[in-house]
Amino acid sequence: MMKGQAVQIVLVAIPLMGAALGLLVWSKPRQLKAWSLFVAVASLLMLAGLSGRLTVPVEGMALLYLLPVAAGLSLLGQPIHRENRPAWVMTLVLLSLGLGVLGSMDGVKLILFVLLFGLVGALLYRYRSISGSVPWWGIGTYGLGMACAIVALIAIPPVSSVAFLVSCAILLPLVPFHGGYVAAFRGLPGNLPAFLALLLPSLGFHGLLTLIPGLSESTVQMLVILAIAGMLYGSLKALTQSRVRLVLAYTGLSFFSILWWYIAVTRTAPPQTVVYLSSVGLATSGLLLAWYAIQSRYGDVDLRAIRGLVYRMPRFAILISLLALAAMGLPPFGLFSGFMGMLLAPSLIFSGALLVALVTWLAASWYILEMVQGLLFGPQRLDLWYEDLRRTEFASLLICVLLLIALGFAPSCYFESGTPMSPSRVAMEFLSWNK
Amino acid sequence: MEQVRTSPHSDMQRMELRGIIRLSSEIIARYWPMRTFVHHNPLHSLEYLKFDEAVKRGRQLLGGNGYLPSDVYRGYVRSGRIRLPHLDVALKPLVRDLHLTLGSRRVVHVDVLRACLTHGLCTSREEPLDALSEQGSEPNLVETLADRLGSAVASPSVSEHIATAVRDDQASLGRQVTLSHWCDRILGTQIVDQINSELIKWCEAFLDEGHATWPMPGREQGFYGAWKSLAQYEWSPCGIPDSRRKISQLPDEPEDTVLDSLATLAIPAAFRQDYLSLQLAALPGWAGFIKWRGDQTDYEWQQAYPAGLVKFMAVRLWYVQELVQKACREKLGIEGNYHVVLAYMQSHSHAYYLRRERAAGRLPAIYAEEVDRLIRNGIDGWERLADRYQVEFGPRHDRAVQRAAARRLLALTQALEVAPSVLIETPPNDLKVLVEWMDAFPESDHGPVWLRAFEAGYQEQLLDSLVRATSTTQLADPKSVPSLRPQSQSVYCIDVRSEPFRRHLESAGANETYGFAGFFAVFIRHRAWGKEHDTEQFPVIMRTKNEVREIPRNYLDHAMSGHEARTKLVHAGHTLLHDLKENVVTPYVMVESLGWFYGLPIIGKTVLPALYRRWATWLWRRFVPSLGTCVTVDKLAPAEAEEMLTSEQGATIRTALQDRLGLHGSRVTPELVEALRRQALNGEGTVELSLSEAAQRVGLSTEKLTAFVEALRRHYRIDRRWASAQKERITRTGFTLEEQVLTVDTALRMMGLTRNFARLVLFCAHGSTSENNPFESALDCGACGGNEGKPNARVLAGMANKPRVRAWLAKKGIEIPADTHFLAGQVDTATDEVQLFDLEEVPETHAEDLARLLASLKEAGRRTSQERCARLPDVAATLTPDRAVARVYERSTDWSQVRPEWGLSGNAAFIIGRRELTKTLNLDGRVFLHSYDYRADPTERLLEVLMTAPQVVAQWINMEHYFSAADNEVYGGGSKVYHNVVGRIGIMSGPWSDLRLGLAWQTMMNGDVPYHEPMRLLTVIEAPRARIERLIARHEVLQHYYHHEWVHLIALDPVDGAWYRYLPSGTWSPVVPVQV
Repeated sequence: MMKGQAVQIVLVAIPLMGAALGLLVWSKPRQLKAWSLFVAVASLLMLAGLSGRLTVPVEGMALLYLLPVAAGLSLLGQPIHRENRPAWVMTLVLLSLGLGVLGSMDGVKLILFVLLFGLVGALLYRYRSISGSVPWWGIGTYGLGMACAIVALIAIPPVSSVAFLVSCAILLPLVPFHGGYVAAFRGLPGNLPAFLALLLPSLGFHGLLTLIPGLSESTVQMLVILAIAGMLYGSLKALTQSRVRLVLAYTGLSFFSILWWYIAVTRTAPPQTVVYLSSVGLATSGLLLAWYAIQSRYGDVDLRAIRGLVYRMPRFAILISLLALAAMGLPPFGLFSGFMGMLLAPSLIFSGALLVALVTWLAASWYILEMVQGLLFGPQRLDLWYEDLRRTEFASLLICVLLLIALGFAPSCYFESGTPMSPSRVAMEFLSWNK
Repeated sequence: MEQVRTSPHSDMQRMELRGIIRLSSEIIARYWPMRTFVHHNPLHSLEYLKFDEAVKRGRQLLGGNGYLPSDVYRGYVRSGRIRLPHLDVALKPLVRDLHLTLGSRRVVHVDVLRACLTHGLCTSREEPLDALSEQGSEPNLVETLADRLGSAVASPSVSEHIATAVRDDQASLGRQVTLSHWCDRILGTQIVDQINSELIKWCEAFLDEGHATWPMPGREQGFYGAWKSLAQYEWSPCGIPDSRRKISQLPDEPEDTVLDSLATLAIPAAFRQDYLSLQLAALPGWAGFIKWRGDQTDYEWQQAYPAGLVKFMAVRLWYVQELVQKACREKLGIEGNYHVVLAYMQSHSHAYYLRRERAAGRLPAIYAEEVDRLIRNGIDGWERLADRYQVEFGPRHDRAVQRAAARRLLALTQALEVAPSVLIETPPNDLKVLVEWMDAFPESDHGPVWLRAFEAGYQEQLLDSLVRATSTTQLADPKSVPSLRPQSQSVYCIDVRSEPFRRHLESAGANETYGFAGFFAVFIRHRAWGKEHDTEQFPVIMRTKNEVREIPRNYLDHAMSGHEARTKLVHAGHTLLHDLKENVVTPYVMVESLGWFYGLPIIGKTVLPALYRRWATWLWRRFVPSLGTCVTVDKLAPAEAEEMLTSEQGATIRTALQDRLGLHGSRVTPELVEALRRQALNGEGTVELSLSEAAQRVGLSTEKLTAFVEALRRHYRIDRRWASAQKERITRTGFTLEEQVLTVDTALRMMGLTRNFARLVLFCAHGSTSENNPFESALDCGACGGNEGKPNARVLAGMANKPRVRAWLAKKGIEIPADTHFLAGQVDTATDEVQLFDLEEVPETHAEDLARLLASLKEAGRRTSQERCARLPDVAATLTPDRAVARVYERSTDWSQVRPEWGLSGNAAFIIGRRELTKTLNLDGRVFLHSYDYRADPTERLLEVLMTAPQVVAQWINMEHYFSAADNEVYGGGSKVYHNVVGRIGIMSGPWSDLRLGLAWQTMMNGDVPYHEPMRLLTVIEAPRARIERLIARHEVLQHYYHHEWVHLIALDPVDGAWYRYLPSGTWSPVVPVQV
């Protein structure tokens, strides 16, 4: 056990120390980016090397591996610019926290939750709009998350359970606690939204799994209602947005609401849910990175400002189209296989909510396609400079697409825990936080 | 008692409105139906303006570009197609005598202007406000330069932007922007699209000419009436509330509806014409077709279902009025009319500006959200938001402008081949001057300069070769008698595709060729054998009174009946299949039972198209043997016409007797038929005794007989009035001897073929064969109204072979030898095969000549195919003639081929002169060639015809190609891949679009670069300048062409043997080649 904790500390320490050492090359953006990338890769390698000594999380190792991969991908595609430096360092810090949450147990996990909420909230405040409009709703949500994590740490059940559930609902967005998730997409700079698109839901999902067995019937009913509301609300909001980041934020909300509904209804989290979660997170992350390629060229512009990119940026056009197909839940990408796996599970019973989930899925095809069509087709602006994806941007998006395809074909055993947890064990672990 | 609705508008107002709409439609070109595609200038009605002004007006109203994108021109500079000296000449009118020093380099104004063109320095590229990646190289230098420029270059403040936006938009509202467009731009509505969608729906249904399975009901009420009667059953079209009541209460007269709508929208009378032009320009295809159809009073579809622009406008404006009102009330709380909107812009300038920027997507994302919030919550925080925007983004805008200027200066140093570092040492004021020079020459002004330089390159090359050819060739004296009689003489259309064929034919033997407009001066309306409709075989700008029919040759009567019977059988089969396909129920069964039957043609056409066509042709000929035909050249004598009319009426009466009374066979005697005919023609007088007796013999009572005669008059049109009209029609068939002599005389004199006739003279028309090609007619002969020219060639040859015609011609000075035989033929421009007609009439003595001519034609076709294949984009290697022949045949049979031939693409010049001028030249199939000998035309009558008819056709073709290449989306037809035929009149892109106006993308473009180089026509005339001047002074169309620069004119003046260019000022300037 001690060995496991030591390994855990190493995993957390590598990105954290990387972030600290990165400050030494702060004045040299190129070196800082390379260093950050190196640290992400090193974390991944270290994780692979030490995986045998790790306590396997309940959702399996997949998410643990995906976190440094997502961090690396988000860093890889970044243009070298002074203003991106804080985001790179913060990526390593957040990676450290993410690995810590997924790998640790008991109270440490909750402490890391508190730190995570605090950090993201602080970042939101730091990167508030120059015009002075502070994203109080998002900061407030993360403040609530931090408070709930503290309550979960010190209170006794059922207060601790409810508090922890709210924390999870903030990370794996669920109406009405989705404000933080949306604010992170809307307001954070650089590659941070792309990384958080996978990190936050993964951590929320991880926490939720420990709660499932202990949820009361009334809580489950409430979750189902909130999930259905989230599906509809997310879809409707996504349909009416003109900012890509917000379209993607609400897309994420609607897709993760499906996951909430599924888990609440079936009270299980088969490997397909991990595939689904990873795919939604990665596809969203990929689309955010693709959008960032545009943003880095033209600023955070309105969706209507850019048209006809297919003519001038063919590589971008191909990759964003593939990512959009993945995000819409079409084969052969992971989201499709995950979603199908969930729907075909014997534990799922046909209900009206299932229809809502299917409509949500179809609606996503509509607005994501419309968004991508708007970007790629239509009259091109002759008053803009065009530059297709640079090598690093291309590589990062390509790897993302390949990963999404791999998720679609990967055997489900890759997403299972080596030591499957029985409901009682999960419940015991949960209760043990309060001892 | 029914209430009588009185109109508030007087007849005078209505008449005035019709006049305004007619004037407003000048921006819209007429759109001929696709089946007779007519090349035309899409800006034809604006030819009274200078070319550049017309292009600007086209851009303003239609949104079309009149010049190629600058990038394409820059590509031409890189490839050497545009040369810098030509660019300097074209820039001359813009150059000012200014200079400054950049390092050690003296930079003059023209250097900067040239660099603007060649390096795209004036492209107004927006610098992103918060980009995180650097563009281009030397980012530090950009920043340093931007610092140096400092306050010398700054962007206007938000307040200034607001003031400018309000001022400009107020000025353009109504004149350049409609209220519906204004709503779309400011409120983010899609009114224009909604209205277009509605109009497309109604136009598509109403204007259908037999394509739709279920035609629109009520079309006989006209466009407006039919719309009104049906639209009132629609449920809230475009979300217009209470639409049923509103439509049902609309006035009966479309003019009243237009006037009411204009009054509701409060469009000031001063610019109603512009406003209506904008409305028409929103759907130029459909409006253009309606404009054409409105003028065709004799057109059967127009007679049955009248359409016109007033009706179109009435429908359109009703939607405009309703939707604008709705949008303005709901979103702004104001009335949707001109004055109120104008006042809103003034009184709510901040809200107006921010809304406008938001809808255009020009606000940064967070501000766009803020605008949305203000709109959603109805908060009045616009001024504060604009101030905040200025505070936050003002400095960044300034910096972006400085950075953009710095980049342009750096690019300028690159163009001037000066070290970029000299900019750092240059005083900021000088830098500012350089930026101002560039700003004063915006990209929108580049088109005319590029075009002139582009044209100069081609013109210089053509003139150079013409000058060399004329200096090395001794132009023959026309009065001298040629020593050799050519083996053959043939006359081809002036079409640019004839040039290579003629060249190869001349090189294949002692064959002389001539160029002449492909209708050969034969103005006819022609009806082919077995067809039900006439084709108009002459340029669309002309009219005719002569009709010609193709009829079977008499001695083949027995074959004819068999041919007819089998044709009817095939036709019946076709009709049956069509009906089965279109029926509500039968397709379900038919697909299962007969679907496989369609598999064979599908596989054949797809996999082995050439073989399939041969097989299908063979099969067709086996089943329906071909029939020898001739054309009715001579006019019928009055007695013959009477006999024909009697015969037609008799046949009608027999049909009526069988249909109405069940009488047939031996009971229907000739006496009965004749008596009935006379009775019907005589009107309502007493029944003739002979008729009573004949009727009694077949058991017809007097009442029945009277009723039947009445039916003949009413339903079968057997009456004096109709008989007179029929007789008049019959007498239009053919030509009198005088007309024939005049036609042949005119044709031969105009083409300069008045002596030294060969034993065989071929009039060779042209047509084109392709599969699955709605544009097939565009590849046929433009001079023949978009039809094949075969009938014209046959008629002219038939006339010229008549001894009586020749005898008369001899009296007029054209001696045609007795052994000269005129032949008619047609070259297929897709396959280069020549088909000869009426060979039955070739004398046996000419068999050898004919064989020799056929061999020459075949060889010329082979070589032409080889030359053409080298220009086709998907033929990589140089093919042998045999392989080229196979390849072009395959293309013409391939139903997936989007480019069966290049057609007239590439056309650039029109030469009116003797063949000796061009005989030694390879003109690459880019030149219209019209034979003309000025010395045989002392009165300049022939030249007058050439300049006002064939030149007009050439200019239309040229302009159609020009604009289709310059902006294929607006003036052209778009990609063929998406085309769908609609209503048998035109094509749409996809299932729902405006009628596509011009030529398809594939006809214009070779990959991403234009195959057709868009240049204005260059006309070269070999004639004394004084004569040309007189003709220009006489004809307004020529003044428009040359003075307004729609056509370039160069003359080879035989008086001094020098070349002269006609300038827009109306003077001549000797042609001096630019020193390159």
